[in-house]
Amino acid sequence: MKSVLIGRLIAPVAFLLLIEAIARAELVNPLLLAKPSAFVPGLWERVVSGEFLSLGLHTLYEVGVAFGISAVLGIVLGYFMWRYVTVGATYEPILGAIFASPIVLLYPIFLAVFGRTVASIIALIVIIGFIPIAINTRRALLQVSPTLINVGKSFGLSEKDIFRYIQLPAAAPLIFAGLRLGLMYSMLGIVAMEYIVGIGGLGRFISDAAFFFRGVSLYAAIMFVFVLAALVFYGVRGSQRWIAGDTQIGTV
Amino acid sequence: MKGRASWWQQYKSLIIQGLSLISLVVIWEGISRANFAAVVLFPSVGKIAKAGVELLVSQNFFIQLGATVQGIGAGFAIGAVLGILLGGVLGRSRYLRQVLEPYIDYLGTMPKIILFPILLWFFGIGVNSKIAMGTLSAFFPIVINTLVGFLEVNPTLVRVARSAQANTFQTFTKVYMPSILGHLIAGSRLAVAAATIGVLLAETKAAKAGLGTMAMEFYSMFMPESMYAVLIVIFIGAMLVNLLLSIIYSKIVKFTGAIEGRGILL
Repeated sequence: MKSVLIGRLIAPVAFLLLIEAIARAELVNPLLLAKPSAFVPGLWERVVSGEFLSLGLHTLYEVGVAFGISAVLGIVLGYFMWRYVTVGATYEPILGAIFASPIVLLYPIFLAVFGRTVASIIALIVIIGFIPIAINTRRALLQVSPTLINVGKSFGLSEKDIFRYIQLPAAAPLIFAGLRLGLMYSMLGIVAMEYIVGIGGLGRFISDAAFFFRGVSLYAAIMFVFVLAALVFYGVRGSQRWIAGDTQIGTV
Repeated sequence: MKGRASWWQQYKSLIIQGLSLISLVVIWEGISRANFAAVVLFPSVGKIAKAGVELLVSQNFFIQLGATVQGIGAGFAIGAVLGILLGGVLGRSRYLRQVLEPYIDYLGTMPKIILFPILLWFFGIGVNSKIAMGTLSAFFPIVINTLVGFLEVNPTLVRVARSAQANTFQTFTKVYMPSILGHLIAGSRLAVAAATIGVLLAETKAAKAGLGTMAMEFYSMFMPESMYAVLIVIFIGAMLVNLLLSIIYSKIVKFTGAIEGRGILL
């Protein structure tokens, strides 16, 4: 196991060294490939100076708004799709089909309606973010064992108490799994759209750096996005394991 | 009466789905007619339909479609070959797999589009950067699914083959292939979907030709009805391709008796 861990630590270093070697040997145009020995310290400088942190916060703020709206919308719609069987049977397949289709390609519509503003990106990403939350909320409530509900009934609990004390806790892990998926898609979608549209935080910075041919900035920013996304993903996954155990993965 | 009720029960969802779609179109038309917002942003359904028909009969549309399909097709082909190679290597080497799998899983979920500026630098604005984007998008679903296929090969079957003195080729075609094939096809379906999104997004950012570029041209020329028409055509086209691939997929699975694969998107 120890050698695996060492390998995992060495792999990214080896990758950077390989790029360094290619850049040093000038196998490709040195204008196009920044040296890791330049952009890794460059990344550090931009983090310490606060430049990347403020860009990252800007991006995370958009992610937070998009995810917040997605979470409320998703849980409420998921609840209604569970509460009213016909609504669920009708709209879950539609949501699934929308989610499987390339919604991001519709972004020019959002640009046209909302203008070239952060609101257009957030509106688009909410559509991608709320669907896994809604579908998983419905499924979470559906999969609650009827035995548990019968136990509640035999204890004479009211319908409201059964929901509050039995169905909701039993559904919580899968609802949380849906929220994790929603957060992931929001994060990925926001960064991607920031780059495509060229507004907002990190994505806009990447777009500008590429446009003005600033190699070190470009490579440093892309690396920063990868690190930031990893921190968010593994942070959320860790907290999910901590709260709900390792059993519920969530599906869409 | 009873017959009618059960008929209603049976098709209830389908009817409501149809009605929802119709009401969406009606609401759109209502916004367009109400004229309260900047009306140009919500062209009437008739206008969009007319632009759509004009688009579909124009020669230019097929030239642009060809450019997009070329990017997706070439990107997918290169991505699939590279993905199968790496998937196979990781499937055979336990150590490499343990070291690299977390990185591949993680990179697989990252939005590949943010690497597009680098691809643009290296390959220039044009076909090659688009193909590179398609390759990058298609690569990860293929690697991950090939690997899953390798890992799900029943070790007992491998031992049986060995004790029956099957040679490497026979072991591969009779034991590994049926297990991997299902995953590979499922992965291919996702890879095509990913390459489609990757290529079209890349086209909207920077390209010389393609449907994505076409949509953005209509956007900047302020021709919303044509832009909507292109986007709707892209959207329906992508959904049809997905449907077609899932039909082909289920046919192949039935024909070969391959084990059904698990899909991992993005």
